[in-house]
Amino acid sequence: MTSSVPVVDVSNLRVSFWARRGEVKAVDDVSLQVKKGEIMGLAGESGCGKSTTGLALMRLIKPPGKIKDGRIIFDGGTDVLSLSEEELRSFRWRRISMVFQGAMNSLNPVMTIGSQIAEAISAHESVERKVVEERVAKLLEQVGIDASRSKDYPHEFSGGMRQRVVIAMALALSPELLIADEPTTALDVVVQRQILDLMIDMQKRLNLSMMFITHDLVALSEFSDKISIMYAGRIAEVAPTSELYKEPLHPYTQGLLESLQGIATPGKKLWSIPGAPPDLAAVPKGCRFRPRCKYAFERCAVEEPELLSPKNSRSVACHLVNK
Amino acid sequence: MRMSTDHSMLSLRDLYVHFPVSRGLNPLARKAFVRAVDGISFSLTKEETMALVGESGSGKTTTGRVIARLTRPTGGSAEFEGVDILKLNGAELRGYRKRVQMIFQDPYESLNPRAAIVDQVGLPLVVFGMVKTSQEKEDVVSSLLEKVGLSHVDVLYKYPHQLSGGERQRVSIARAIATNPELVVADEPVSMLDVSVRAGVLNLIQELAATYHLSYIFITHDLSVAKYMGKKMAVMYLGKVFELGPTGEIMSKPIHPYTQMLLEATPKIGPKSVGGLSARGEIPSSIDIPPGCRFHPRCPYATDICKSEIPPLRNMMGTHSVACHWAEKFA
Repeated sequence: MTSSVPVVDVSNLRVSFWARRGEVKAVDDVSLQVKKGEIMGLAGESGCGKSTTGLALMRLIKPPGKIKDGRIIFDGGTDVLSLSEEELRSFRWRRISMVFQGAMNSLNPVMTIGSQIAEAISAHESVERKVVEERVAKLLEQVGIDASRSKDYPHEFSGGMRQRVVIAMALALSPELLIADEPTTALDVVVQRQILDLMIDMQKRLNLSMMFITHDLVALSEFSDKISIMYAGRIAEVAPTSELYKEPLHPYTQGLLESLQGIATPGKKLWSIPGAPPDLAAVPKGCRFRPRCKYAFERCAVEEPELLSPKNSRSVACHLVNK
Repeated sequence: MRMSTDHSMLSLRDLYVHFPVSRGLNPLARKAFVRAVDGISFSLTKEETMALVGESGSGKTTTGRVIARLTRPTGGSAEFEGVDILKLNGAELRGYRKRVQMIFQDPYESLNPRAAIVDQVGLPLVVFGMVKTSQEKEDVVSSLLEKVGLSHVDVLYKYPHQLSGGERQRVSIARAIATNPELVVADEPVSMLDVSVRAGVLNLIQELAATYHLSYIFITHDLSVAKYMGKKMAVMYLGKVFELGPTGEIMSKPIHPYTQMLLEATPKIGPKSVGGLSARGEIPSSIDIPPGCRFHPRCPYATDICKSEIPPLRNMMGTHSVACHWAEKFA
């Protein structure tokens, strides 16, 4: 049930980290929207800024990193970047929550999983212990864990089960937007399938809005409504999922999809994008994909392409497409 | 030294690797073993690539390490061109290491952070006396780097931290082919690489096979990569081979219920279709392996016999073998 109201509207976001080698522009002028009830896939390779974007939405960027610029409007009203620490406490987890990358390995080893979920609830709401316990039980059932296991410790669960616990925690305060950062990356294929199925099922049942951060374009093709492709700190292309796979417009997206599809046909040489992504402390002038792009022409060397809409519902940051 | 009469280059027979584990301080506790590899057999002919596929804990890496003589098996035999590799010592073992090399999963861990690339790739050349002077070493390493698609001018005197993940893996590959090996064990060589660089490294691995008449044991958890790389494949689960045969045949018509489940779980481009064998349960610990068919607790077709008797790997048709009591039903 997708409506046109964005649950989160990000414009011109810039996040930098100050390292010894200078300013690393992890997110460099990113604008994106997640609409209500929609699954938006944020895809890209390591170091493209996709996780940093997610953390910025939660206002979780810590020094030496800083949100330099931009606007994040939540649900048409809340200006996330101007919230005070006090206001943030009632905003995070309640309105936006996040499943962090590798979170299943960050559960407290000396606390039962039930009390860890309970802690998440009672830190934000003053409810009776009995009510909390009931809610924990219900959350566990929802993610497919028998409620009787709430007294068990993390080491008594398998990786997939711990990931279910993490999802239960993220959903404990019924957020409107869930940011999932590579929730299935460290898991085996079969367990990965189970977690994906669970998340999609929860998304439908709770009519959640979801931002799904991943490097896995194949998995995203199965369930996302819309995909934003990031490259070196910027959005390269945004498109409804089916259109993106049918007709990728940005040369980077084309390259990614060609190498993915090529792998399905043994015997054929795989198409691969030459080179590697740039160092974000020394981004090339003009289009940052230019050094790897087979279509690059003069303009690409001097002018950074803007994210424009050549077609309805699609946007691309490429001079060739937006001529 | 050739003793065997078949045409296989490498042949593993009933191989076991059990690691003892400590179960705390209680001296009376039952001694436990991680049964990493639990009785597997397969063979590889010259210039063939065999993909070993499985989830974590399936024993695929341990099998690869036994072949590279990095881990000692606790039972069974492993022959390379008819010679028992487990009995090799001294000069013979050195000779074997020259012929069989390994590429490791993590290009960030498998290179020495404090040695320049010329010395790392050059090390096997020095160890095996293939170069005499440092000038000669530099020349040979330069040509090896060119062969793996790196410009020696750029890379020769650099350190690993100055290279990208894809470049590092290419350096590891250059090091592995330095001794002109006949067999290379590649353990998840692209699983840490991003899509845009992964394709280039896979191409390189295939090109080298043709140029150097190499055989590969290609270890991966990714069925799509296995399909692309190997003509033959072995699907492993908890230390056993469940299905073995021509890759195309297994991918288009998997017989073992586990292979079916694995294929069904693998994401494919496009909206998810419903049907097939749904993902059930998780791989149990290799310390407490279920009796009978080790897959029975997760198998929707399991019957009584599956709970008590271990199904042997049986030949179904041609070179396609399956370890399932009910294989005929699914064939």
